[in-house]
Amino acid sequence: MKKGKIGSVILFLVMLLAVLVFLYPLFVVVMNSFKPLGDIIARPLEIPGILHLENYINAWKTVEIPRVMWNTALVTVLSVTGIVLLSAMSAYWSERHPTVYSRIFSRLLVLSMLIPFASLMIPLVQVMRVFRLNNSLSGAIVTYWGIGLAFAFFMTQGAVKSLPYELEEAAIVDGCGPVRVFWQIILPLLQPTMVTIFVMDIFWIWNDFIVPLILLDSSQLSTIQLAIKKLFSQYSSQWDLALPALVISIVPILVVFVLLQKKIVGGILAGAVKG
Amino acid sequence: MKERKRLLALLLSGVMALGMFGCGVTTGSGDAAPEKTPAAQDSGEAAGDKGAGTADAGTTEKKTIYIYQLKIQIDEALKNVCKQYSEMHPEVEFVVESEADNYFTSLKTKFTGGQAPDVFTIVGNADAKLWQSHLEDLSDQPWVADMIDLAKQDITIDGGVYGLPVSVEGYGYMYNKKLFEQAGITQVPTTLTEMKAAVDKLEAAGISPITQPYMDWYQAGNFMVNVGIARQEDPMAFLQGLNDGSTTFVDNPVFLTLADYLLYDVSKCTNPMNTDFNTQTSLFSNQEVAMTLGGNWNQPTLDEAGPDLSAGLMPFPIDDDKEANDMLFAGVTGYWGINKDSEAKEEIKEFFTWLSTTPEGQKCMTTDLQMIPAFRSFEADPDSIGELGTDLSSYINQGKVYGMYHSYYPDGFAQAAGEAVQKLVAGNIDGAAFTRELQNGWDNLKTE
Amino acid sequence: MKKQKMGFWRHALFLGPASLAFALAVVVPFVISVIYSFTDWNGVANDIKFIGLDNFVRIFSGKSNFLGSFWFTLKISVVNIILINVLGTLLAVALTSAIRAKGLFRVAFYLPNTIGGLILGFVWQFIFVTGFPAIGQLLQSGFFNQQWLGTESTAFIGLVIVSVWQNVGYVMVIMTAALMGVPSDLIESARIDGASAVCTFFKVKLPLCMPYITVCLFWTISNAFKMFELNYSLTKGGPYGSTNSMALYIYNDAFANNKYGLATAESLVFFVIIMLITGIQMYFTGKKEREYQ
Repeated sequence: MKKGKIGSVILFLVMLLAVLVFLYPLFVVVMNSFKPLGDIIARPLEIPGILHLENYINAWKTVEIPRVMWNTALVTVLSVTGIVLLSAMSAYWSERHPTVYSRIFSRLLVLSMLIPFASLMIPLVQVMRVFRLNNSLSGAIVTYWGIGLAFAFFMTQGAVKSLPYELEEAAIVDGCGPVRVFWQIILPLLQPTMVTIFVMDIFWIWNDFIVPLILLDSSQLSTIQLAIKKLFSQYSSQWDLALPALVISIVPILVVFVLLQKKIVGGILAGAVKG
Repeated sequence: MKERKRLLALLLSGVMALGMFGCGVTTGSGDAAPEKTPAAQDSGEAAGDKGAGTADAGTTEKKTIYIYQLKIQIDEALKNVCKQYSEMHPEVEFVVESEADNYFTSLKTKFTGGQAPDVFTIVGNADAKLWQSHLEDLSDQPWVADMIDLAKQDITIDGGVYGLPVSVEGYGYMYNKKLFEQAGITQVPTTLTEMKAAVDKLEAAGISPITQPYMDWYQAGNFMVNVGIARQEDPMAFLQGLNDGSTTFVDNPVFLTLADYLLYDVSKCTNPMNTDFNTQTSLFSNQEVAMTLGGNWNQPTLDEAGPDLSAGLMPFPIDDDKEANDMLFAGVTGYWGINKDSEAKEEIKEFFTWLSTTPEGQKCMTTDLQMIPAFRSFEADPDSIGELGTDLSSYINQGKVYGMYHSYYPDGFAQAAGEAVQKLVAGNIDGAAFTRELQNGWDNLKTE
Repeated sequence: MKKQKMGFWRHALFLGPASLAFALAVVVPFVISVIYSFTDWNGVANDIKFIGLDNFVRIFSGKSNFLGSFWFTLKISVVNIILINVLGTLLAVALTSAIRAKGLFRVAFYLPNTIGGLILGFVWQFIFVTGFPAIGQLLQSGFFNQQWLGTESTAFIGLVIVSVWQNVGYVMVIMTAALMGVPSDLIESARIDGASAVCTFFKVKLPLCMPYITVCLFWTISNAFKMFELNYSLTKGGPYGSTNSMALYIYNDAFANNKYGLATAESLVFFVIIMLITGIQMYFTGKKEREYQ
């Protein structure tokens, strides 16, 4: 018993050390976000004597944080909600009512995960232009629905497989239509998996810069990643603006992660891609 | 506004689609539901159209000129110039957007997406060829005859002139005047022997002599390799020959000399392969190093660094021929081209003419935008162009400049050439292999 | 009766919206890009010429260095996939044992995964270029004083460090879930049979976690091969193009070198390559899963 305790203390210390090394780069970022540019470049490891809060104020103004945050949040939330709903609908249906079409559809989805995005960039803009969706938040959202579908589909399909069929059967015997079965029985059961997908995709979309780069071209529509990217250019990296902007951009998703941490694990457990 | 409406439509159709689930249940038939979903989307589209329509209607009285350009440092100044012009010419208004890194990617997606700018930056000959099918021929404009030869040769394709030259830029070594003084260097070196002597003096005084951003291919590929091309007897013929196979980089004496010089240069740098553009600039502006490759485009950055930094431009001496080495490298690095499908073509031409031929316009060019003009009839404003610009224009006025030919590279060659330089200075290949590497890169990338 | 006959509209209702979005964002653009791969389009001009298989000939004849970037991608993917999965699993094991502050540790290790690769690249570039030399000076250590992004091998290691740092949290979260799902009575009975902890881990726990391992492998493999943002911002493919990933190479050909046709051909080749690789992986892990069932 005692031996086990000492072991766990050692493990704890080892993990603590690992975490410190692991988080050091992020610590450097936060620390430097409070320094004037000269100090950032010349003395990157020094802990700042005074907190240079102007950086944050300047970043807030230059990057237009309120607007880009609003754009990013809007795109992220609508995209993720769409992905979760579309994948639940399609995964449920193709699992329970397989047809030739649904089989082809799911094959194509797997393959789509392997396409390098660079080759889709120009054609995607061309397609979106036909529907007048390029250079609009809606276009970016639809694009994320399409690209994000594949991974979400497979997570959800695994979860649907593990659902007992009896519940649905009972409901159908009671005279429920398929829509109602899905809405009232399946969706609540899929909730843990949906939360997982929701959280994972939030991180992805929040941090993505390539779709905004081609589809959200005007600065009115800029997302946080795109705005930060603009601070790093070939000719001058404005670290004193970029670092605070970066810290600000991490805060919301960090909150999401901490709040939903338990559910993420739970969701994977439930989803589990059983077989 | 337009965007908001479209979003609203999207949301609405989403909500309606969701509502369908409920409908499906109450009517007991799912069949009716989906018919409405496309309808909802249609109405969404319609709302979007309407939004677009009203937005267009608001702007028909005034013509909007959308400028998309590469020089992020002049963004603010250019917006002011445009505002001045709109006040005099109320029939036009401007939208100016400046972007550095993603300029080329975004320009392509803008054209693909139907958001093409009316005016955009062309960086030189190869770029003009690339965009030729979208560019308005400006040969008949009054300012064409006034352009300096370097510019004319660069932007003329098949007899047509495709852009307004924005400014002349040039480079060599940037040097720190105070550190030179400290080391007892009274005259800037113009030959290799003098250069070596100066470096020795700097080192003796405990000053690190040189830093170069060899980590990035960009400056090495564009500016260092250009030294070799510009110093050929007839650079244009040399380039032409590279394309038709009559000349070659391989064992070209100028390039072998250049390779030797680069090896000397890198031997005087600390951590050259770990130095990127940012490190380079910060070392130089913090006065921690005496020399680095640089051009008058660095002036704004140096100005920010503080008034106690005093810098100049000096030659890049690769051998001991005094006359051949006491030169800088200069060229027109940017042109503004007009989208030939632009509705405001005529208004833009008028604007260009105003900029380049009227005293007020010229003043905007030289003092507001702080350019060294690529025109014969007016000169740069010495107070605006800073120390580096002043050095450059004095070299230009004495005729002591080589051209900048990187705009004639085939697409991708700047990177290939930069990577060849990196291999050379990292010690992976020798001078002869360096020239073979350049030749290989050119052959693979040239368009047959 | 009713349940068997699913009308067209119901299929359309459930699969239609998803299919539509998928078609718009992926299928149609992909088909267009396949068409471009047989042309010499530069991404700009209005005239497009069909040139048959020339782009593919160019790729395989070595005129384009695409295959070089393929080898790089293959090498770094193998290293990354192994390290990320092994380290992630180790962390998961450590964090499912009796240890204090599990939740906090989990958050800490997952944290880098919540930041975009592009920005991580910039941050790490800053650390490699400015931070490491400063640490090196402080500790008088040659290890930190190297020109990290300046030589082929250290730039490679640098990319591996950052990828592992970024992605290990993901595997950790999934494997934590997996290990927590192993029924405790199984472990108990193994222990009673006298199996050591290590033996229990390999013989009992891991086989039961197979489906999760499949998820981790699929995720890390497809991510490793699509590596783009990190190279784009951390090394820019340097030094001398030695760290060009396939995706970055394609991006550069398409947008910097104005060879859109060639780039789409390259991405078709890329697509086939990872299709083969993930296909093989799915086949083998699928086989393993079936064996254990």
